[in-house]
Amino acid sequence: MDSTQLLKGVLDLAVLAVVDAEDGYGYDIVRRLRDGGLQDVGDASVYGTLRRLYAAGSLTSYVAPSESGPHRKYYGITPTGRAELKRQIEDWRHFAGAVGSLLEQQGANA
Amino acid sequence: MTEQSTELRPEVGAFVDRVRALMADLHPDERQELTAGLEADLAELVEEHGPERLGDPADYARELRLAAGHAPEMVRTTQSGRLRAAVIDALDGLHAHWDRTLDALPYGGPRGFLTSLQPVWWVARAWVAWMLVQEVFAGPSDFTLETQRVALLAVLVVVSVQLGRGSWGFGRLLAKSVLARLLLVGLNVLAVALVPGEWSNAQYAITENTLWVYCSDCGW
Repeated sequence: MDSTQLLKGVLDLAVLAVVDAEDGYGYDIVRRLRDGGLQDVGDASVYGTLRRLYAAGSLTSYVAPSESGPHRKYYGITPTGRAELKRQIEDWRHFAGAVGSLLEQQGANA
Repeated sequence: MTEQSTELRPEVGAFVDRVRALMADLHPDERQELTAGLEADLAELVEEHGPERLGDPADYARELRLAAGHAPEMVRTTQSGRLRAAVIDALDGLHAHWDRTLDALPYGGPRGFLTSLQPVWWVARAWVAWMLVQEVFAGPSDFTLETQRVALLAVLVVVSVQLGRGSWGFGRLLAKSVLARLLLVGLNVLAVALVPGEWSNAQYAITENTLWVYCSDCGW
């Protein structure tokens, strides 16, 4: 399984976590995801995810001037988004734990 | 970053136009939301990594659509749909030009003002339609305020606002039908043109005390 498949499953979670830490505009959020270790994340995927999370009520948006000229649209997290983030973190931890223990049981070598 | 990123590189502009074109089947507001910040974001990307990083607009559009929860591919236009596509492109071009103009306005000033005026226009055009309907059905200077007429105005306002919001399926209709979009543009232009005429009709009705006559037993 290449990283794009793995990424798709957790992009919502990753984007929510990044926005929760600090509001940001599109490319800023892409940069933070990449700097955080997800180097393969596509910016189109991030923008689409931001839009979908906004439509679902997990994110709010506002326009603010940026240092380098034109205004940018910033995204922030909503209470709904925080609840969703919490739920997805639990799901992820549970899932990662389950996969880890499965590998151990099957005798997989790290 | 000291460089003014308002000077957008032409390849970024062309790339975004192509991506937008590949999303022509989506609701215009949805497409606008997805592509509004794209030029600025991609300009930043190109500044950091060079123009080669842009890649294929078709792949980009597919990825963007999928991540946003839409079908990856636009329904292809057939040979007979070329005129339709051309009209769509023209309308989109106008809309994009308008959006770009709005985007370039300083934040917090005229842009916010104009955006806030949109609902006012929805109500105003309903009022123009109402005056026109009265003229046509009841005579050119018969503007009374009887209940049925006020109810009609209320209905027209509701329809106009829902149309402006894209509710009641209007949004989908406009996304699908070029004819509907042209009709809407035409009606808006007509409404703008009729505002001065209907306004003077209204002034006439008021100064001629038509309303007073109607309310002659109100005790005023």
